[in-house]
Amino acid sequence: MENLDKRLEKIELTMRSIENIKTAEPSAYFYIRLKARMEAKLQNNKISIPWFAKPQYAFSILGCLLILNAFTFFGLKNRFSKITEPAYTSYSSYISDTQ
Amino acid sequence: MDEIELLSALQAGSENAFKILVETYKRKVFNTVLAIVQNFEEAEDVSQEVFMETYLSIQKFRGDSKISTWLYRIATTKALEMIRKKKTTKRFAFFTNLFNSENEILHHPVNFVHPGVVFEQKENAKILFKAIEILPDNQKVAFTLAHMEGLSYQEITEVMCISLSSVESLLFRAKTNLRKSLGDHYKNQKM
Repeated sequence: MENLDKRLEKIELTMRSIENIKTAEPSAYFYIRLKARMEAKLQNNKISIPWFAKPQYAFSILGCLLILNAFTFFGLKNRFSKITEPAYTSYSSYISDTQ
Repeated sequence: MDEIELLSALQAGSENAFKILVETYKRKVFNTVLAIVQNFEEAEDVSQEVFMETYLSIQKFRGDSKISTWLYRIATTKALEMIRKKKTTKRFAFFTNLFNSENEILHHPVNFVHPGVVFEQKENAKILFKAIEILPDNQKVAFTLAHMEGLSYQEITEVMCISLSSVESLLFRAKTNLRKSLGDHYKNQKM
């Protein structure tokens, strides 16, 4: 029981430990550093290239296009090889087929 | 320079106005961020990002709330973003340690002592900050704004864009959770 009371007291003491907390100061050169960072960012924005021109995206897009091309090429090649002209044995069979 | 003048000067792109804004609000922003991220260097980085965001979005600010409210809103959002980023980094800590050949410390251990805490309360405050760290995001923000920044409930409703009853509920749950965490902590210690 005494132990519980001590624990509750300790909890309340800990809860009150941030009462009257003083304001923490950022470093003295906060504004100078901020200004330098903003200038660097603005400089980077000026010379920034569009996302699709970045190597990782450009090569990925190129790779996808090449794969699509290859699929299309081989797909069409297979389709054409399967289409065979019907062999007509006589002129009358050709006429009846095309009419 | 009053708030309306400052705002119109900022919207006109005045560098001097921006400097005044930073000098006026840097402590508030830094303290709020520091209490949430619990790391001095990261808090300064995030505070700078807050002012950068302010500079970039000043044209969108219509002045329907106080500048300080708007800054607190950006600061809390950015601080929570930083925590999420840190959590993701920690999740991949195993891999980053694997691929990092030099013996750099990539993931800092949590052992935060707020510089504004009085000396005799430092140990208790350290334990309290550890408990604050594990609070859910919205409880953490409400508790920080109320107890570190001393904002009124009304001001917190404006910063967090929630109702007064929600703020009261968040603060009540935050305190209950903190007491529970502290109870667990002291239970494991010899009293």
